Amino acid sequence: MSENASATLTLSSPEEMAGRHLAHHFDTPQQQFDSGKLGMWLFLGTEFLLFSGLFCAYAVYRMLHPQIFIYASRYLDPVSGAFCTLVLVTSGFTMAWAIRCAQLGKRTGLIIALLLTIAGGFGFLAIHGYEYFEEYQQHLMWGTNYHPAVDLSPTQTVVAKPKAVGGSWSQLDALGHQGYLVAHSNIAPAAIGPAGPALAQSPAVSVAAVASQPNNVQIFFGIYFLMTGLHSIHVIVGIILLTYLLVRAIRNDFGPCYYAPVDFIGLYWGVVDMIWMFLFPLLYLIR
Amino acid sequence: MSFNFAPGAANIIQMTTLKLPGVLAAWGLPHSDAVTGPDVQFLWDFILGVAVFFTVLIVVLMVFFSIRYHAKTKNQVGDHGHTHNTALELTWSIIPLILLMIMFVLGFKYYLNMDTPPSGAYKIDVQAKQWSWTFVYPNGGISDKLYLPAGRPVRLDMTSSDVLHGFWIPRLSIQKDVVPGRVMTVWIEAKKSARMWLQCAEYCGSGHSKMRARVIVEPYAQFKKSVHAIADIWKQNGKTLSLAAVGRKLHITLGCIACHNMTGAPGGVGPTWKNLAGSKVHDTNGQVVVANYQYLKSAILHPGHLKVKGYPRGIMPNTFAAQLKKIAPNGRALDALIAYINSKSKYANQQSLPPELRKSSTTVQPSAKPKTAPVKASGLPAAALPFVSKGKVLVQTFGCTGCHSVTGASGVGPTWKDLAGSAVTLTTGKVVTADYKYLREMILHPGTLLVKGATAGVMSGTYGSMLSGPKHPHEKKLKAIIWYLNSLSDHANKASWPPGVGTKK
Amino acid sequence: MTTAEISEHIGEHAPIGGNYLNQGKGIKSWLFTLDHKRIGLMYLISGLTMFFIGGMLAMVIRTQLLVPNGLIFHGSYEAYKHYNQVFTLHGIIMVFMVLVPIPPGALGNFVLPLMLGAKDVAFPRLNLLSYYLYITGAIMAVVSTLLGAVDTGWTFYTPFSIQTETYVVWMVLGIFLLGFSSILTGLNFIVTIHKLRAPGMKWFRMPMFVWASYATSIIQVAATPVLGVTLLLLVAERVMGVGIFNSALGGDPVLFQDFFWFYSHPAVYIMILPAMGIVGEIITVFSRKPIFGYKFIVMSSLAIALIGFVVWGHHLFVNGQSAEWDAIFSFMTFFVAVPSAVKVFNWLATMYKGAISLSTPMLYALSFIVLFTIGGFTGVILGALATNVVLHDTYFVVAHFHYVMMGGTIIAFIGGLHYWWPKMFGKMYNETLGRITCVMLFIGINLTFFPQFIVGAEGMPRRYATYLPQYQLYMIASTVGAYIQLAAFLLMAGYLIHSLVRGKKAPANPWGASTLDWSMASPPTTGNFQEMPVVTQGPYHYDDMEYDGRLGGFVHVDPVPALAGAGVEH
Repeated sequence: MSENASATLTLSSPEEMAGRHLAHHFDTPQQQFDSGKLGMWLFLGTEFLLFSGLFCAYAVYRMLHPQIFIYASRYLDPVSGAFCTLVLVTSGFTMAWAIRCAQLGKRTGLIIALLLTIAGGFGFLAIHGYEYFEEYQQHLMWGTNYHPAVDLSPTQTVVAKPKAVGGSWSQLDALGHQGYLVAHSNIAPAAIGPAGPALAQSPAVSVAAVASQPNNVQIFFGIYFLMTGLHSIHVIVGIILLTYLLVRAIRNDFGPCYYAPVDFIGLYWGVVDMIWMFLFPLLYLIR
Repeated sequence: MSFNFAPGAANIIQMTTLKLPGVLAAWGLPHSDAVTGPDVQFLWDFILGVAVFFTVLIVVLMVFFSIRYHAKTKNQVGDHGHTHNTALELTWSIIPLILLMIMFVLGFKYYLNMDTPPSGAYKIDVQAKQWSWTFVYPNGGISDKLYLPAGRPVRLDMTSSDVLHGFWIPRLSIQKDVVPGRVMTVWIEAKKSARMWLQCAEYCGSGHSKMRARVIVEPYAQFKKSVHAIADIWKQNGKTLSLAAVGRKLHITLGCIACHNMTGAPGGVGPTWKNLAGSKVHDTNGQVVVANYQYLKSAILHPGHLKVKGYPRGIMPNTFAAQLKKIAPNGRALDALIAYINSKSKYANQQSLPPELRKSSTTVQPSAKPKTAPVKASGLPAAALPFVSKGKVLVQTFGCTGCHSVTGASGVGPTWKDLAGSAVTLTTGKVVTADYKYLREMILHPGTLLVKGATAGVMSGTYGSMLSGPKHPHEKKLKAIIWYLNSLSDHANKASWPPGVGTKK
Repeated sequence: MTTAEISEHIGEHAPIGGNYLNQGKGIKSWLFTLDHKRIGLMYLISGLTMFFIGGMLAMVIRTQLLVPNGLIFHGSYEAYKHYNQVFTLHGIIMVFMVLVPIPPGALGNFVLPLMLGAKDVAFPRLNLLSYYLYITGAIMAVVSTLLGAVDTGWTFYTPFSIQTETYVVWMVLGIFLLGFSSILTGLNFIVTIHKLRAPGMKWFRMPMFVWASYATSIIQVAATPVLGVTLLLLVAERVMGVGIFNSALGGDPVLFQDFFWFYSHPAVYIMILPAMGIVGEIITVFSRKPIFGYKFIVMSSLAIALIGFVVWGHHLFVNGQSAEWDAIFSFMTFFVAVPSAVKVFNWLATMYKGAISLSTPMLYALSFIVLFTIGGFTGVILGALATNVVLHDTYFVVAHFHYVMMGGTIIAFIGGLHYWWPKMFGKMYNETLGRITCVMLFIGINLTFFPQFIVGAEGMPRRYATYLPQYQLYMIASTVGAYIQLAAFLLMAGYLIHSLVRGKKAPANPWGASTLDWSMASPPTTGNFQEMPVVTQGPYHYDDMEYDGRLGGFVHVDPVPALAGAGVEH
């Protein structure tokens, strides 16, 4: 990407257009484009690696405490997750369309496709934001903030209810701390985390109900919020980049000989889509 | 901090002059008293031998080439014929590889032996915390020294109650991190009697370098005597302990510590014991009872009758009565535990202490036991409700209700019932409205504004730092408490609500 | 920046006799420069400043440890906490602000495009951004220190780093930015090497240092994102209380260690690979003989970079990792030692039948070989499981990695600085003082760190503010060595600064090197090459040049005689 202070609205010939965007240290526009593309792929590789840490955390905890994941993932709504997926996939399609329009020099098509992609990004954020809001209301949060079903008052109670059925986790509970805690120690180990839901606050809930909760459910919500939160930040960054493209598209900067920014940001958007494709089944569907 | 250069300098001179020869005489791994020691020593010697051989070879060749092929003129060039030799290069790739693989196999073989405890080993539990080690022997004895029998394998199960620690006895060739939340196991077999140090090897904070313990390896007969002596909970190192110190031991040996911490941290399985004795406890019926001696006694002996708000019944085992009786049939073990609970409570008073420790002729302020009403949340914005419940928890955690009733009953401090938004008369005679700013000020800086009839200094000024320390502001907690106050008041209005929720939307 | 400014930067209209140092005047022409050489120089200055600060902290540590109870911080936990803050800051500065970013940032930036025959790196703007991210990260670390410093050790192990009341978040965010800077530098270098090589510069005609930088960049790009997410998670722990790494909330502290070392062990190779590249360059030039076994050295660099990713678990041998994993990581650790050994033998073989001159850079390269060999072999002792259990987290480990980092990376970096100094500044330094300083440093390093091997094996744990009296003698020796190093560095600063002011003008090619970086005037012009170089042979060939006494440097002899077996032809 180069300076465009001299960019004008007059239609330039493809050669002029490419030459105007050629940086001083490259010999040919092709060399510049190839460099940019390689750089972009490397950057996207680092994006995957950034998420890989969280995927590893997910895998490790799922292996150590399967019962937490089976229990807690029922509180996520697969329907709204599916809507998120649908919206993102559609926006991925419109982005591909935008790249094609830029390559063909179709300004109107490019602008429409970019607008649709941006709308998709906002749509995703809206659906997901609503999910966050619900979870916040029900105290399905991370760490010590996880205390759903508190009796706030005799009249008003926000109780978390599972949104999906299925998943048998109780028999797995015993697996939870295998390899962690040795039963015959004289010293009982320190309590491992908060005792799960603060159901105990409500006298109506029996001991049996508390005992049947797996411990450390908050870990699932910690991972859930971190993964989807980091992803949502990437969506927001994507929307900002797409807006930048939109401004340049309106200014008619792109054409068959110069469409690298559209191509590169399109790649980024594709990666953002793809990461969600992993998040959705891992968090919402697999039990 | 001061500099102690002068004694330091004297010490340095003494060290360098007197001890140099002896120190230089021996270097390498310390002499090991463990049965696994010879293996480690052999591996060390083997690798060191290879290392010294190759290092000397490399240095000799380097020096030799530098002299032999020294350039005589600037224009002299090297022999361009020698630029590669695949056979030679493969040779010096494969020979190191073979040597390294031998080292790997030996290292792994010895390590497996070091890592796998033999069955039937004597078992000692180790508890690490910032910054001390505690050893618990099978007979219940507790000590800060690690006694080991010579010639018998010992298995150590280690836990940490705070951060990572590193269990390391160099002279017994053993090291293992103590990871909180896990039980870490090592085993040791010392060959003969010796005394040595156990040092913390994993960085654990300010006192890391002081976190060490004495290790005493003794013949088995002597070891048994030592452990027997430790098991006498009433004594330590031959001296009779105070009742509270005995209670501290019991707190660990009976395993109370697993559910009842002494740090005041919330989130335990059972309520914290910090500031418990003498405080007011809410039961599940909304009753408030004072945790006096009788209460604590029955709580420990008959946990099935407990109805503490926030903690489900039936979690605490009812076996402690028998255990305590076994230790001291006359009930002194129970008293010791209660004495310990008292020693960690700022509300401790004559009523909460065991009779043995009470001072005679002291009157105790009678405590009110009014009925409590359920929390009123009407009129508040829905978004504030989570804060109300959070505030309620905080209020219990900080023990506010010890002085401020939530029912309208009088107490040390003014009741919180219908306080928020109401008119309050100050000592100056001025009448102010208890809005958000006022409530905040009263919690953070008690004493700056005094309510009519109150005495300065009664309310602790530490809540401010507990809630919003200068380093880590916790406005959230403060707001949650004030939301809770609002939920108790019929006069609550927008001015008394904390800003943020409900007011803007 | 306008187009006019850019054309000024590339030096199209530069006067004859100008160079990158004086083409473009004023502070702005430096702060907004896109020239890789200027950015390299800014990295150099920032890096040396950080090295000075980190070094002074090291002196504080060594002075403290003169007596068992501590000479400076003693008597209370509060005092020990200050000591802990000092060694934490020393570690953070040296690792994240000197060893990782400076060899690629300073020397790599300056030399890499010159060696490849490129006008600049692929993304000059990204390069400048990378530098400013480095500066911002360093500033945040300073802010954290001024607010009250960090006492976690540079490893930030949880749960201590979650519980401590020091300013971890600021520091961690600063390091996050430093990591981002490192990623961008690596990405830039990879693209530059792939796409901007001069005509005829085939892969196996690239100099050793370029290959080393390439291997380094791969690690930077592939490992640093994991550090990024680890640090973000740590911030989430402290700010939000997420609990993934916090045992008090059901999390697993060991997971943090796995994440952390997944970056931080490859990071060790980020530090050592450029050093190996520098040493390779120096040894061939000062032996006046093509490097022995070019392809073996190249492959060993790549092998180190790749195997380096699967050895991190050797930092976790005593934390309850299963014995199977212990075995795998120990095996891989031994495996990664082989390419390092190959390099050392190949360097020695390069000297065989060479025409060796023991100039200052060569002395540093030879010091590197000795110190790195000691550091490497003690690494082997630590890689073996049974001995590791006895030596884990002791001064033996401290000595080992200081031999590799100080004796390896820093010594090679200083050697490289002396080697490229004439090219960078167009001035020669005092050769005699250069050699004396090198010998002083060699003695100082050995005296500082060798006693630490012994004291560690005898039973002194690392990160101790106080220690048992029986270790004192070693600690005193170590401190004396540290002061010798300090004196050597001060002397070096003196003669290098003197050379900038009063130094003899440097010729284009004072050492008779055959790589492209010596093919233009010293210092180079902003655009690097007056005309595009065309490469026709391997990087090392010394029989087509001649020493010119009037210039004080080497010149090419024309026409090139077609010698049999000259250079590494591919």
